[in-house]
Amino acid sequence: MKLLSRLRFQQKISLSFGVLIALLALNALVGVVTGLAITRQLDLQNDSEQLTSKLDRMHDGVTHFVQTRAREDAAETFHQLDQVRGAISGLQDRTRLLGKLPPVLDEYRATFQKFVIELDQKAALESQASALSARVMNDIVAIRLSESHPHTHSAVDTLSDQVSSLLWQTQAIRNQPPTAATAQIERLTLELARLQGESRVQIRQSEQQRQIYRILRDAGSYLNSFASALQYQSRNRQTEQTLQSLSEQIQSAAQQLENDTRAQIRHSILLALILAGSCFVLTIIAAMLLARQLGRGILEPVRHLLGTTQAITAGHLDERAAVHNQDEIGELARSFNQMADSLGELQASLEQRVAERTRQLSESNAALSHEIRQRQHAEAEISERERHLRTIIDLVPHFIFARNNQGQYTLANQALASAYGTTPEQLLGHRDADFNRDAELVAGIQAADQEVIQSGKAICIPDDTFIDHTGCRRDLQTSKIPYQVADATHVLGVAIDITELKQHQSQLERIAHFDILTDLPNRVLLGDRLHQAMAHAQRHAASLAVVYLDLDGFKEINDSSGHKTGDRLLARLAARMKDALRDEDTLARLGGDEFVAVLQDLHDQESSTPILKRLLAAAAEPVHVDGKLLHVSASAGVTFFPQADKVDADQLLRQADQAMYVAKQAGKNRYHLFDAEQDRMVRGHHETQERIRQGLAGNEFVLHYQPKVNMRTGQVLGAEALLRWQHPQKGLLPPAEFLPAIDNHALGIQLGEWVLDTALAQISQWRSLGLHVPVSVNIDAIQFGQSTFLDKLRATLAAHPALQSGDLELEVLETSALEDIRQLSDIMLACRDLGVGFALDDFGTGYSSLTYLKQLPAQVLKIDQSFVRDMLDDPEDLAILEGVLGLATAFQRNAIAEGVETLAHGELLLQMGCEWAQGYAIARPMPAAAIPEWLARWQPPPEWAHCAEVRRDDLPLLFAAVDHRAWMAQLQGWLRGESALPPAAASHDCKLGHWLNGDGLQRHGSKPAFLELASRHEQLHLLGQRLIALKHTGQLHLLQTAQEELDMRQQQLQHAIQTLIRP
Amino acid sequence: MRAGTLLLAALLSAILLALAACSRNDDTAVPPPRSSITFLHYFTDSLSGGIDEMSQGFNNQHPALELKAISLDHEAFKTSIQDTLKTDNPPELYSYWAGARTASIVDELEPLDELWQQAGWDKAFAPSVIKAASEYRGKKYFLPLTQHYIAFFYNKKLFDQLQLQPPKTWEEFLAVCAALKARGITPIALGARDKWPAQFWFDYLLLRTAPYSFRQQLMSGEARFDDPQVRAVFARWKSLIDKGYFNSRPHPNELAWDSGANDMVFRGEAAMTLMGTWNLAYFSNNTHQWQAGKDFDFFPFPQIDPAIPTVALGPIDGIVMPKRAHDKAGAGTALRYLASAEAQRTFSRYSGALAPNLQVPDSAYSDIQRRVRKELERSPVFDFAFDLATPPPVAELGLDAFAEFLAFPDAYPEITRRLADEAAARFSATRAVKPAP
Repeated sequence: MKLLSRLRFQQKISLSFGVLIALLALNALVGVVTGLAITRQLDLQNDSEQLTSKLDRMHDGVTHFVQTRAREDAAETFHQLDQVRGAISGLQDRTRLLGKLPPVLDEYRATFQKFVIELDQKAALESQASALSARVMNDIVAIRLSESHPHTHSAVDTLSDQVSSLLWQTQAIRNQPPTAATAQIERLTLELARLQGESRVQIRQSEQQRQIYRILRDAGSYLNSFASALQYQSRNRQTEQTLQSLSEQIQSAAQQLENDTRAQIRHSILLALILAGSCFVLTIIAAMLLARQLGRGILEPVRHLLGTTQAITAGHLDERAAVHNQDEIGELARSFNQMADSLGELQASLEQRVAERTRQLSESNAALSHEIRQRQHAEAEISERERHLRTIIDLVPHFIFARNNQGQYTLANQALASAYGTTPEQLLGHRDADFNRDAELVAGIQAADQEVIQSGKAICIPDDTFIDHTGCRRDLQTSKIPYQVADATHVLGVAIDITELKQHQSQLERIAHFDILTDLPNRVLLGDRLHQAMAHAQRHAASLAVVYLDLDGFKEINDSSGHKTGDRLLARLAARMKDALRDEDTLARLGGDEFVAVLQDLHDQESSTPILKRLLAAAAEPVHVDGKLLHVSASAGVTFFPQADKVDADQLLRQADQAMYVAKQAGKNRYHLFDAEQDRMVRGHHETQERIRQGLAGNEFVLHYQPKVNMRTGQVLGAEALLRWQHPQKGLLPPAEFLPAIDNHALGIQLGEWVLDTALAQISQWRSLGLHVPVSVNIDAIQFGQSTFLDKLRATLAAHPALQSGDLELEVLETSALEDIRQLSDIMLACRDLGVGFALDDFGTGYSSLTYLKQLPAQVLKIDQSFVRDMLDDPEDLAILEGVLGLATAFQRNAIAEGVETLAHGELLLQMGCEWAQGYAIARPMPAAAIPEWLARWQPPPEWAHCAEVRRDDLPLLFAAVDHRAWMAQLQGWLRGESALPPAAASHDCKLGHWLNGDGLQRHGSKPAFLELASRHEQLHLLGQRLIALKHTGQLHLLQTAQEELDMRQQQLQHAIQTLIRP
Repeated sequence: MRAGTLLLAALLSAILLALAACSRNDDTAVPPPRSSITFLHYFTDSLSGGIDEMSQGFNNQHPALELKAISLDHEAFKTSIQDTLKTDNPPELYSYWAGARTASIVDELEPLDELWQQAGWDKAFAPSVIKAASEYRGKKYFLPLTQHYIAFFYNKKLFDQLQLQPPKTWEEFLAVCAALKARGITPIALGARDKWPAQFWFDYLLLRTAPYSFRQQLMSGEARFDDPQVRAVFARWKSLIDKGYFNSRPHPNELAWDSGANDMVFRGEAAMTLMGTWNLAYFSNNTHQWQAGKDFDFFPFPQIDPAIPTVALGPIDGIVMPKRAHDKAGAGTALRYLASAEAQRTFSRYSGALAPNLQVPDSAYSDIQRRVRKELERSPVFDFAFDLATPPPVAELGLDAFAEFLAFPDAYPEITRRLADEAAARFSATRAVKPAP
């Protein structure tokens, strides 16, 4: 109970309910358990009753069998026994009350079996006995009928009668009690034995003796069987008694089972009732106890508390509640006591505070009268400050004002009044409408004022407008705030004059989008306009053109006449070009002398043509600037939008720029239309590059070698390595087919390195064969320009240790060599130190200045094959050739001619003093493998071997001969209808004629060959004149023969020339 | 308050106790029902020792089974068994005689081959025993339980007094008989009132003079009983009778084998008797209290023709299972137990028989039993006596013929002829009923 009082109230309640619920659950549980138990017991009783009835049936069956002894009854009994056994097995699982019923029943079954067997056996013995008795009787009849000695016969008869009577006696025994029966049988057996003995004595005949023996033996057997049967009968009776007693046991056991079951049921029900009753009583008691306990725990302390409260209310503040519970009531009491304590303390402190307040009040009274005095002083000060403030406000250049609800000024500073052309004082009480005639403006002002007053929030008007008394519009930035005066809301405003600021701003905007010099849109605005125009064109299915203009010759004017003149020129030209365009078009300056025009709303591309022409004409018209007449023109690139491919503005500009470049290249002062198709082709390079990369990786590139020789001596100088692409689909491709695609591309360098490496490997291989074939390799300027070029070259050379100095020569294009002469010359010098020679390739195509040539340490100049190829017919090319040869001689360089295609080329070169050559006349480029055989076989043509260099004096004759060949070619071309006019036919008009009449006559006039030459020359020209006449007169059928004669005479002439030249 | 609390506690504990009582009542384990195995046997009277102990041993080991051994007079097994076997409610197990009797009921028996295999009985029993006793028509039906041996049991004190040795040959035997006769002692006691004891003489005389195969032919009806070899047996037997070596007063046909012949030997009136090893129990019983090896002993039937291999004779008792038995599984379990060395040893201790189970150690036996065992092991062939070797109807004829021969020894040619004719008729009748497989 102490423990209970220590618990909290809530816990008490919980505990109480818990106990009650547990008890209720227990009640339910007990009810269920007892119900189940009783049901089980009732089932059991039912089963045991059934068992008893089965047992009864079984017992009846056994009784029946004992009476009938029929086999089927036995089977039925066995069946009932099994059923009972099964029923017992079913019960055995559920009750212990069966007691010794199962074993007794088993015993019963076994005994019954025994009983049945004994019955069978008894029956068998009886049948055996009856069979034996029948046999005995038969034998007796037989022996009596048999033939025998009379003595024997009578003995047999006597015996037979005795045996018969003996057998008959047994029938009487059957119903005697067992002991008497046994004694009788023993007596009979002894009697038989006696008969057996007597028979031996009385019957002498052995045959009859044995017959009698058998009869007596069988009779004995009969007696035995009979006795056994009797024995079995008694045994059977015993067994039957056993069965009987077992049956009684079973009956009593069954009865016992029934009784026990009943008793158990009574017991169970009683137990269940006690249990349920106890549970119920327990629950009631527990409920009462708990209720009492709880009541005591709550009511008493509450009653006590109530008394205390009433006492305190009556003023006995010292009264306290004496409750010491640990639960919530206890806590309530303690809180109540604390509250009473606090109440007492509070009253004491309240009294103390009233006294304190009284003292404070008298002190503040004194302070207040002091403050009033000070305030009067301060007010005077404030009115002074206000005056100052007013002055400051009037000095501020911005408008400061206040207006009331009706829009009347309650405050205005000097600046505002001045703007209205009045004084601040006159402005007060007036509205804006009184000074301002712009009604819209006034309405705006009033609306803004109302907004501030109604919302009570400040606003800022960044683009306010004001019209002063002079009518001048000014830009203002106005701030208005609500301003409370008494109970009305006024608007207090400050307006700053930002008119100049605005002007500045718009100027800046212009600068951002317009070119200052020309006042045209700049690049930024152009971008915008172009985008708009493109969108417009797409919307309206129209076309637009982008024209990229670059002035021709402007730079020179700028350089010569100065920037200012240039600028003025630009401004004038821009204005003119703008005038040449339509209103919807845009002209923009990109910077420098570059302009872009965007032509909008074009029906088709052709409709742009007149505009373009006007534009170019405007640019090309001379301009007077600073007293000078200046003349420039413009090159323009044009592209159109939309295009087949999707393009953006930047692409359009690029395309136009590209086209402009073409126009510039094509001779300036023209326009060129961008070709999208061509552009695509150019872009196709990229694919080729990829293919080349694969080719390089797939080892598809090869080097062919073209020998270089000394034509006169037959010495092989070396070979030029030429790159070929063994393309798997296209076959062997020359460099022109693929090199342009990788021009200026890293792949070019890679390829160049491959070439170098392969060539060096080849030299090494030839060296290993005992061949000395120096190889020259073409080096791209880009590769050359690489900072790592020298290192790579060094490494490559080192990789081929069999090489010797002079085995490798690098060929550099003359044109590329000129680009950075200093760097090139440094590299060349470094290469020379490595034993690598240099040749300037395609010499003659560039504009090498002599100074440059001097600086370059290239030992060989390769004369470009274009000069060599045409030198036989083109006197100009021959002149260049002669110049190059002269240079080589002057700078002590070796010259080698490329493109030597025929013997004649070789001869002429040799005559001119050029012995080194390379070309088809010597050898075509061939695979490396073919070189050794070529080397072994090649011999210079004998013509070359005997061809001597002509003396310098005779060179004019050589030139004249070439000139004459050119004349011939011209004539033949005219005859074939290829040219409109025939060459001059007169013999003195040609160079050879001049030479024959002048220089030649002086030097060779005495030689017969000269005379022959002169005569052949005359004849040739005469023939030419005839041919011209024939064609003119239409006698074409004669032409053929005349032409053949012309060829023959030409050869004769050339032969004559050679005869004259050769020493 | 205090009283209330106490009341509460008392009530609570009462309820708990009651609940506990209820639950205990419910929870108590009910012993599982035992299913009973009925074992009908003929080990009555002097032979019954050991059966109850065996049953008890089995029941202790198998709580779910109860071996119920019920004894019946052995006559009941000879005839009425034929009927019982055919009913739907035969017992689970029968005791039975190995040989022709088992063969006569084999159609109604359950083959035990599967059980035999599982139990490994091939290792437990000698092949000669299995062949003779267990196998019928190629299957195993019979579990051997006891094995007896037929031999001469003699009064050892008498032999010692006369300084006679147990004879090994026919000549020695005749000499011993002559020596005894000369001293006025009946050499051989034969109590054939129950007919069957006479058959041992016929059996051994035949088995020692004719090949074993002949006897098999004779027992199965393939040879006739008037065969010269059979007639020679009777002639030899007659010579012993003629010499007066058998008891004449009382005549063998009037003498019981136990209280008659055995007691003659016991009293010293006769020197020996040809009987089964159940005599060990008889002589050692409370009435006689003879000590084996000291007061009495045994010797095997002497050798007659050295060319004929020794054949040991005796019955084997065992167990069979009816085909219609209810609880064959339980019966199998019981059989496994009854075949065990432990059970067989228990049984042999009381019956004086040998246990057919070879795993029963020699130490389980008395000295004389050990010697019997050795004799059995020495004989390459073991077979059953006449009435268990030939079909019962023929056996009945034979036993009658032996009795008639004892009554009229001179008439043996006529008796054998008659026996031969009647036996042949019964054999053919048997074959007509049950054709040989």
